[in-house]
Amino acid sequence: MCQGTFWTYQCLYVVLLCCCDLFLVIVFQFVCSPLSYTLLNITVAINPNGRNYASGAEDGYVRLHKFDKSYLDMKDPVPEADEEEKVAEE
Amino acid sequence: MQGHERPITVIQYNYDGDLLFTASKDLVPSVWWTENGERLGTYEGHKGAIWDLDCDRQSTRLLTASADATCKLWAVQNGECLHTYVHRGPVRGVSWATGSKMFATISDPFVEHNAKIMVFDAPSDGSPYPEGPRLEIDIPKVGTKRVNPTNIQWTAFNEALLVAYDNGMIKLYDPSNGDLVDEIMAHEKKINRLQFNREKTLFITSSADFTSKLYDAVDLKALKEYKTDRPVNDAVISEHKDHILLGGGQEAMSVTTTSGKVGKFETRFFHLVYEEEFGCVKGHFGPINACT
Repeated sequence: MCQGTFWTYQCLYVVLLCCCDLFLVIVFQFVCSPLSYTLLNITVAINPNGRNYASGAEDGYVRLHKFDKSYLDMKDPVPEADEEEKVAEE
Repeated sequence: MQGHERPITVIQYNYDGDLLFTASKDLVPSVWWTENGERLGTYEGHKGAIWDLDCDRQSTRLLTASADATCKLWAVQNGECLHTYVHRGPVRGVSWATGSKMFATISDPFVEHNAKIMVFDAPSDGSPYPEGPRLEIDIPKVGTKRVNPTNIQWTAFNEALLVAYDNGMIKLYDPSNGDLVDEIMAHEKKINRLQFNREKTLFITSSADFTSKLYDAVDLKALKEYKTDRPVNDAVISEHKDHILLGGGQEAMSVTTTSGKVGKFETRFFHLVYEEEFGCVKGHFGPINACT
């Protein structure tokens, strides 16, 4: 199975050099056997409202992720300099 | 949600965030509601893999770039193809200008034609679409090697065209006359994707050299670098939080050679300022586990 994967990707790489996408399609059909552990996460996008994001992968699936409340409320660590300034103002 | 049979090439939210456009190598882009994941529709008509798409500001028109050497303009709502722009090679990237009245595309070299950057007008007031490009920038070979553009974006106020190349360079072109304005060597290997933040003040590049870099859009200075151990395929800047999301993966080929680590499908979260990775989401045909 590992050998198969190797061959698939090698074919892909060669085809990309030839810049001919039609050939790439044929290669995929003959050799491609989707292997779960070799998924490439190819693209991500974040929703402008900041509440969810999506990722698309090699297997053709698009995954919509919703952020937990704990993530949305999470405060990022603030450098010490700001805290000192706040104390000075008070 | 499964809507495509082939690897996903690009996904993009519309400006308001209620629609998600997805495209893959299977010729048919789809659009989904982000609220419930329900598919709104598909855009039929391309004869090749879709490499890039861009939705305009009003979410009325969609542009798709395809390996069949055309770029198509669609009405978002009903899936009607409004116009087809023919190119000489596979179209790799497309981007609406600010104002959504014109757009730019990048196409790969094909046979004797060089790679090109083209700027087209796409009037929104009902006047007929011009057939040919308003501006065509030729990308000649560098010595004997072809250097291909991988991504194109407009800067704020349409001042310049940012084009990322597969040798790690980013070049800026003047969209009125096609002159090369500036160039920087951003990465050592191919730049997979280049994305702006919402205000177009920063942009982030993701590269096959395992890093992603955050740049200031005005003076093109590298502000931050996010290092990973895998090629980075895509990166986005979070709007509400100071976070960066990276999407990457291990190539199928290297799985046979590396012993311990297996390639995983994951999205990584980095803090924008501190360049530290603080989370990753692994996803695989099933539940998504967050980990820190």
